[in-house]
Amino acid sequence: MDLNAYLVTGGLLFSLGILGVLLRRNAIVMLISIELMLNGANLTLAAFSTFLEDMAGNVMVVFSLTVAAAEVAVGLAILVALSRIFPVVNIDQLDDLRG
Amino acid sequence: MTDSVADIIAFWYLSAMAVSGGVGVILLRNPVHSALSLVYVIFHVAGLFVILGAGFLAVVQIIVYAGAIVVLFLFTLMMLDMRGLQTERFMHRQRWVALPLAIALAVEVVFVGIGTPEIRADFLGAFPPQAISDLGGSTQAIASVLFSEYLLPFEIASVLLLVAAVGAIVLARRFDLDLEAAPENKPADLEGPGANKQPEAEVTS
Repeated sequence: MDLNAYLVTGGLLFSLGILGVLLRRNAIVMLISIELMLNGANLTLAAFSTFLEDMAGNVMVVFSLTVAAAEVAVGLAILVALSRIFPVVNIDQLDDLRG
Repeated sequence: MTDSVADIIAFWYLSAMAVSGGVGVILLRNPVHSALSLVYVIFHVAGLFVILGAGFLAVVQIIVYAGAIVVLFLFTLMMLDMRGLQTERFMHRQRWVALPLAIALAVEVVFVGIGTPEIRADFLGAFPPQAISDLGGSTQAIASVLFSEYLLPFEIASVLLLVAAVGAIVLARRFDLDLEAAPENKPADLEGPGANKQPEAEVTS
């Protein structure tokens, strides 16, 4: 397969992740959609790495996995803290800053 | 890259399943089903990594994403109260704005992906498939770059993981304890085991 097919697949995964973040009300599903976006970006990085015959893209995927793990840990900790205030964490309940 | 028919069939199967799993993530009503659909996406993206020749990334993807991140999601879902989800609206009310924007982004990204030109031969790096197999595989090739050229970012990543672990513990602990009655629960003791030895007046100030 050529590079374009991988880029289209990665881009579609990224767009689906964006759609999930914008569409869903549940905060955990928003975090899951962010993971979907990271997967699309990782696929693009790995595809460029293979087709450019350069290992830097693969190393970037390893770093991206590290950042994803850290992001999920902190994000879920914030949700656990929020769940003491709101039993079901829906993001439109968090409107304290609305004027 | 030389592709056999098996590679082409595998690519179309894996990418179609990955994208349909992504649709499942955003359309399934129950968050547990969304998380399991993410596992489905992760395994198929790992398959795409395999036909890209990045076997190490495929294994790390499955271990870290499916083994650690999704399990963390499922544990958090278990802790949170998910009653009332079956009756409640699960889409945000801005959905008629979000849908055209996301479709526009998808069309844009697909056009960019289709329009990307072939990579010119003078842009190619130092790791053609022959060099990778001479080193012994993609794991050795990643290690040879990661531990020489990217050693400083690697160390910074370890600090990032430590900070994230400490931050997650601090964020998820209970703050509704009576801080005045129990001085050992003050935020000051997060700085280390010796923080409790401080004089009382300094802690309460």
